[in-house]
Amino acid sequence: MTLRQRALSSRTVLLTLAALHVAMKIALLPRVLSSPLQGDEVAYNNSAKAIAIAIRDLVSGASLPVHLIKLDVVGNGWFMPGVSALLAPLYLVDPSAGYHAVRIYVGVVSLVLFLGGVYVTRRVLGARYAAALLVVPGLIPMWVLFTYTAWGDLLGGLLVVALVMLLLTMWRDLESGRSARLRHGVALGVLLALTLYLRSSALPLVVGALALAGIGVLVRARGRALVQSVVTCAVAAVVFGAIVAPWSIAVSKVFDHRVVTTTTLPISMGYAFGNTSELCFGPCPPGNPWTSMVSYSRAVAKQTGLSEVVVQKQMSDYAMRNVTPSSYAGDTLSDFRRYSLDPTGFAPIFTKSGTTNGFVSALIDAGTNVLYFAGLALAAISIVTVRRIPSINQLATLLSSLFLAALMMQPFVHICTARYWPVYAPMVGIAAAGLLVRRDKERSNRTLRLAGGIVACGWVVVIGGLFVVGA
Amino acid sequence: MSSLRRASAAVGILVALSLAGCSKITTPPSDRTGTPASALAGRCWPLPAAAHFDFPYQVTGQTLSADHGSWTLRLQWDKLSRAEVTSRLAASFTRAGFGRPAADGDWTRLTSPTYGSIAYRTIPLTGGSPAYVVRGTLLVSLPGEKAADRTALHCPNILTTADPLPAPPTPLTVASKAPKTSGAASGKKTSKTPAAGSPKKTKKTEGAAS
Repeated sequence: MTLRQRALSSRTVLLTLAALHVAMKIALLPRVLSSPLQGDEVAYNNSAKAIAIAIRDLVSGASLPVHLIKLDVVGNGWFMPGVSALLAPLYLVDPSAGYHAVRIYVGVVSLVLFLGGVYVTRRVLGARYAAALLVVPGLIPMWVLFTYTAWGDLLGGLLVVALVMLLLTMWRDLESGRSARLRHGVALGVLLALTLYLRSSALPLVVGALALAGIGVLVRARGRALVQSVVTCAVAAVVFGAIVAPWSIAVSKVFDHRVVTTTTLPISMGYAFGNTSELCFGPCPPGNPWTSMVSYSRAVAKQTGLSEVVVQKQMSDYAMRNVTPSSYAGDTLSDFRRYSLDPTGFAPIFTKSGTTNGFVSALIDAGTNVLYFAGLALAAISIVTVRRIPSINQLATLLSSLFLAALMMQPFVHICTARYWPVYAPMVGIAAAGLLVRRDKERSNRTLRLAGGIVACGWVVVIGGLFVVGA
Repeated sequence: MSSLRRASAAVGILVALSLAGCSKITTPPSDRTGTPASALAGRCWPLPAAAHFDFPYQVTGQTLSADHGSWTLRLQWDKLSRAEVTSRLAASFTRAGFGRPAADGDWTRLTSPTYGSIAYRTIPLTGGSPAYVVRGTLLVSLPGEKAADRTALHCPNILTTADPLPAPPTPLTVASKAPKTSGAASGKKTSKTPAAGSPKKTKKTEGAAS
């Protein structure tokens, strides 16, 4: 087969896979249209409406509806406003848009982001990686259903694909003796900030990515290129900080306490690992546990003059005072199972009856389980075996492995459900695709192999330890 | 196009948020669910006005006994030691004309000729320490009748606990000529006008301040 023929055939494969993804997306549309907004989606939506009203007021010269922004955008401080900013244009165009419009709008945005990510992946890593992404997550039916949801996990996960490709491009520049380009630094800062706004729990990933960029530069660049590359990294950090700071400052002021992303961590730790009958220094007032905890903390704050975030921290500390390593590991393990081993757990919310009987549901279940677990197994093999492949591919596996690890921190700090896995699904695809690359001892990098080995050991120790201590 | 939209929306929100952040913020953001502490405010205060509690506390639940004979409120007190809270409670009840306290099992029982009998019980926080702002639970049991007009007065809803709260061993009695409502929450005022501290007014003041 000539090179030209091979390029043509790989293009056909990619186009076919993309067409399959789009076909599946269209076929599943009726299902999501029968599913109204759920849980956090409702909060994001109210926040989006508030932003649209604020923008309209600003444009018309009216005063800013500060009260509305505090109520619906900042709210309990649980959600960074990435998804709501994304939805706001919809409400600018049509203030009375219903959930059908929201679902279709998010579906289109996610399609553009996904295909954009695949396109960039093809340019940076080649057709095999792009094809892998089009299959995992692109053909996992549950993931496709999630592309219509406004939770931010899936969209944040798609930005991480772009992030990996950007870091690889920067690495390639460094490897060929050039310095990291300034515009890549700006793009890195923007991308990290947008990822965080969409998925605030990606904070470890975002900080880790900045640190990795710095380490990469220090390891790889020399002389003038080193100075320029360090400047690029600094620009990335400054741009990132400048985009995130307005939110951090606003939310810190509202709660009279330093908050970087959200206020969720203390109560989510308490709820996930503490004694649930002691979360409010005893049983919480009856009702939804989350809102009950917050309104309780607010009552205590009002009485004592403390910030409600400080009260929430104390509530969590109190509820967790009897946590032992084994109880923590046990709870983390259950969290981990819900997070990673139950990809169809949210299937019932996409059906009218809330049950998943019927042929289509069975297909969705089977398709999801087969592709998801196959992808996970291949990714695990790719991460653990640390093969001698070209350095750019080694780095792709290493980055996807590290970002997977960062996104897998959630079960350790937050109660998990089957809603969150779409955030890391693309990293599974990229890690697994490493197995499609031919061995190439010459172009393999020893340092990266060593790093890959250390990270692989980390995975085995942490996951193994969790099962040993927590089971 | 999509990224352009996202970017412009992001800029919009950032502008909006920085403006919001720069504005003067004096109170915590409004709460859709309401703060439990205000559940007993104003004319919803179920005890004589002079018996106001001059220590920080929050209401976390209630139970009405099956025969409607006793209405038990679960409160938590903050910052103070159990001894300090007990002495402040005693002072409040004396001020409001309740007689000498008497022990009734784990409870302390008091009677007022104009109000009837009540009982309270203090339970320090298990495993508590000065590190925590909440120091203990205060159960206050009132004659069931005192809960009857809360709906008519549009008092904020106090959620009923799933498990019944403990009640004092001896049934509580209500004074035959007890006034229906007990006046303002701020006990220093002895005004008998029920409207003086109506919850609606309290709410409005809170709203205007934020």
